[in-house]
Amino acid sequence: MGGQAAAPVRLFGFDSAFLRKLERLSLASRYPTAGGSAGPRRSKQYGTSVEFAEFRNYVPGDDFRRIDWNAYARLDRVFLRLYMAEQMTTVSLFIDHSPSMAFGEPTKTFTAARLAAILSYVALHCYDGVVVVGWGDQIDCQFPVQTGKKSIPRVWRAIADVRDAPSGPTDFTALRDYRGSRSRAGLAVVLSDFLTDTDWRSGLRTLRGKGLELSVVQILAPEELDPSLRGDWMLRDSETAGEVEVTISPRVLRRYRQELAAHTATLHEFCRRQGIAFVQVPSDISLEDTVLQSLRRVRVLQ
Amino acid sequence: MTSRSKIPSYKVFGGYGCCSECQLGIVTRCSTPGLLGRLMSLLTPLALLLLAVAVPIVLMYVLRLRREDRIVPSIYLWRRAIEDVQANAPWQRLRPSLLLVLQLLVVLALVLALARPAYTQVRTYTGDVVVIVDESYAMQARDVAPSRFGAALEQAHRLSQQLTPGNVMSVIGMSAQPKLVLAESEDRVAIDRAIDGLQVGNTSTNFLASLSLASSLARSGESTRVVVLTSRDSGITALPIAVSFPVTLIRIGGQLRDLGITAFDAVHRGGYTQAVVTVRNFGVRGASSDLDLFTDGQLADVRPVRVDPGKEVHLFWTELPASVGRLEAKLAQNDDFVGDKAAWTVIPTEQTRSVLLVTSGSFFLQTALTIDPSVTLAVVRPEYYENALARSYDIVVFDHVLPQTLPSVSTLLISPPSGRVGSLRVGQERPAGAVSAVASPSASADVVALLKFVDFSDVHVARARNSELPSWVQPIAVSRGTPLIAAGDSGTVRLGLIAFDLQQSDWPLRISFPVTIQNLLHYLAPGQVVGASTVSVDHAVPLFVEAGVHRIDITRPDGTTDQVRTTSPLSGVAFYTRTDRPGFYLVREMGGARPLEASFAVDFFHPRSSPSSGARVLSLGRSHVANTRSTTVPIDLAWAMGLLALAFITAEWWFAFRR
Repeated sequence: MGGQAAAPVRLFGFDSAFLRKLERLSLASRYPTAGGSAGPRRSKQYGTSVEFAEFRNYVPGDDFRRIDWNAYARLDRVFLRLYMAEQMTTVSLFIDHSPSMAFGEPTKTFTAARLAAILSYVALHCYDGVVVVGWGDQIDCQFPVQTGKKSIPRVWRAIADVRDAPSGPTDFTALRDYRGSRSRAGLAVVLSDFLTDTDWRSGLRTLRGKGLELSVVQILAPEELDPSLRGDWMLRDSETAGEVEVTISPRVLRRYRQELAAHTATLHEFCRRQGIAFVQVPSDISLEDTVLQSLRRVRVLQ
Repeated sequence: MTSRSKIPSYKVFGGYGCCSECQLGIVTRCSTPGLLGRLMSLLTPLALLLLAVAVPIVLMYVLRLRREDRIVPSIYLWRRAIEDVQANAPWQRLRPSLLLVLQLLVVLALVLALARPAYTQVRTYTGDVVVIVDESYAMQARDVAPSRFGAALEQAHRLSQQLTPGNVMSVIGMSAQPKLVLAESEDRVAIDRAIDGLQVGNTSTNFLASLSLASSLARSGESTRVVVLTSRDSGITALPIAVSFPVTLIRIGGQLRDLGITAFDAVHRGGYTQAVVTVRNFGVRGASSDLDLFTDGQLADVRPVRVDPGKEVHLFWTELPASVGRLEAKLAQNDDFVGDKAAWTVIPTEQTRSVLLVTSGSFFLQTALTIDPSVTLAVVRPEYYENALARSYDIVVFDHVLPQTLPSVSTLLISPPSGRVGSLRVGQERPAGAVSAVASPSASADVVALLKFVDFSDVHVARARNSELPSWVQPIAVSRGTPLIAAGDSGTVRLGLIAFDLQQSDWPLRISFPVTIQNLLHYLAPGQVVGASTVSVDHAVPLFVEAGVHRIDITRPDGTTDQVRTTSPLSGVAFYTRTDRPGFYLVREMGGARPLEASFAVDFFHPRSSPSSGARVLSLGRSHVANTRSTTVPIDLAWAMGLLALAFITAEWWFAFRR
């Protein structure tokens, strides 16, 4: 990494040993890339890499340099020797920085930003492009694609800016406004708590429609996974100012856990049907666990 | 609650109006009251103030609960978690709530239970009840379930439940000795406890005494009814005395199956033991069984018995061994009656007495002494008598002889010559006359027993010797102040004295002469321990207590031992009365000159009637009810309100927690 990333490293608290571990990883793609600049990823197109693809009959206009002269000598026929193309892809990181993400210890936004930083580091280190998108009730931050290791500080700064910027309540329909070009379709990771009444299905389908290969990371605070509240409370929503009076009894807590499990199951099932990788992580999960186990388990990283 | 179905219906039972619920012939009429008489009322209306409890319950539904604010990331999940239980918390405004309605109903029902709603019922009743429950042996029969006695107790409990307020009930246990178990109580718990305390026994009934007891309980000026719960074959069909109150006789019994032993006896005769057993069929059908005869605990014979209903058969054994002392007969077949399946008898042992008569010859005396077959008589002339001879005999009789010293065995002196022996001094003859019996207040029972069956009114004595008696000798018969017959016990020997010459009187010609001689022999050499070898249950058995006996142990058939302690050092007669259990009783006298043992048997022999076919319920005595009173009885419905409250609580709980 060197000195270029020294300052941003402090933004997220990564140490060099951890970053060296990240350098051995890459973002997993289940489909070949289509279009884009030359890069390290296998493409749907033929190119000039060292990986043999197939033979094809010569047709006028083909590049003479690709004729397999040995085959011509043995068979007295002209074949063209084709190789796989290797291209770069773009990784879009959608960071939910709505007010509900500001809860937890550490906050869900903080965890989402650290994950985005990790993913961007891995992507840029593999010569992939990175786009950082921050959204709440609308897409309020979208940084242009950045490529190359030298872009890491800029990308991390952009992520930090998204983390610290205020936003409105989560609205997944705002993702329809994402202006990603078709030529830059690639990987996308959505980082959110998914605690919203808005149509998150529509938002995810929109991104899928833009050709993005999606991964979803649901980040929940510990008190959301296992509330410790007891007694009579007037609960106010941090985003919508809605309120609910509740007497939290063991029975109500049991019902809450059932609803949370049902909500997670619905999200998980939707992702499975859409071919979207899904993982739920608590906001206080350690980076080692997150990166090396959770994300690798669901094939976001490899 | 005020429907007509609550009013019992009636039917005539033996001339009396009888509540169909009791079926006992008791005249407890529950009349149908008018509308006003059945209006609801509250016995403790002040309890309605507790309805104020409903106010805070409603307030809890109206008042808003103060809650602490808390900002959470999202209420998305919380709203869904409490979505379907939100009906529990209509905090701000009173909304229709089934829970609230149920809780108010619970309060209302509880308050009404405390207020004790009641409706009134006018009842006409006849007053006090005296229940006589037969505790005799016949009530043990099980021809009705669980037994006649159990059925009687159930009916007595039913009478207790029907006792109207203001009336009392008495309970009498009817046995050979009737007992008042409970007198004039209104407390149903006490009445039921008294009824449960009754116990069926092996005794017979004493209806006269029981009815007399009931008569004493009948309060003058009040209407009293007597209910007699007895067995069907008790033989009671009429009142033995005139009474001023109605008597309802309820005879309990069914189709009895009972083959029982009604008599059992045995004697030693002709070198054998002869026994007879009588078996009677008290049932309504023919019955058969095997009869087992045991002699001294060993099975001696088994004979089949078949008896027609109401008939009896006799079984004889004529050649049983002569050594047999105790016999037991048992019927093998069980039926509705257990008590008469076995009988016991003891053959009285003949105690032989060896008597030495020192005489020059006396026809009357020798004849009187040999009447008793248990007496072995030896006669010796006075010149051949020596004191050493006396040790071989139980009694020495000196006729016209006064020995120098009294022998160490019991002695009878008849017309001794003048002289002195020990502290007895025999004086000169003097004229005598009519004889009269003397019973000294200090005389022991056995001395008094010397006069048993003796009548001196026709006895005359011409001359008798004046004697100075030792202090331990009491006169029994005197003439003109001169003791003619005397007897006493020195503590070591017994002495009898006839102080006149038999030839100088007409006594030997009177029946009292041999009787007195026999009494004297029994007194001077008492051999019997028990006075009866076989008795019926609850009959007293006389026990002859020898001098020096301080305790008598009686081992009962169940193995327990009763102890009778004697306070007098003299001989006498004691009576053992705890013969309530049939079987063999073993008697041991402890502390006497020699240990004495004897047995007697107690049998379950009662005069019994065959099952009569008369009405089950008989009405006897005065046939109308006097001083019939009407009263208004409040019927408390607090229990119903309590049940209603419980139902509401259950419904409220189910509604609150079912989801």
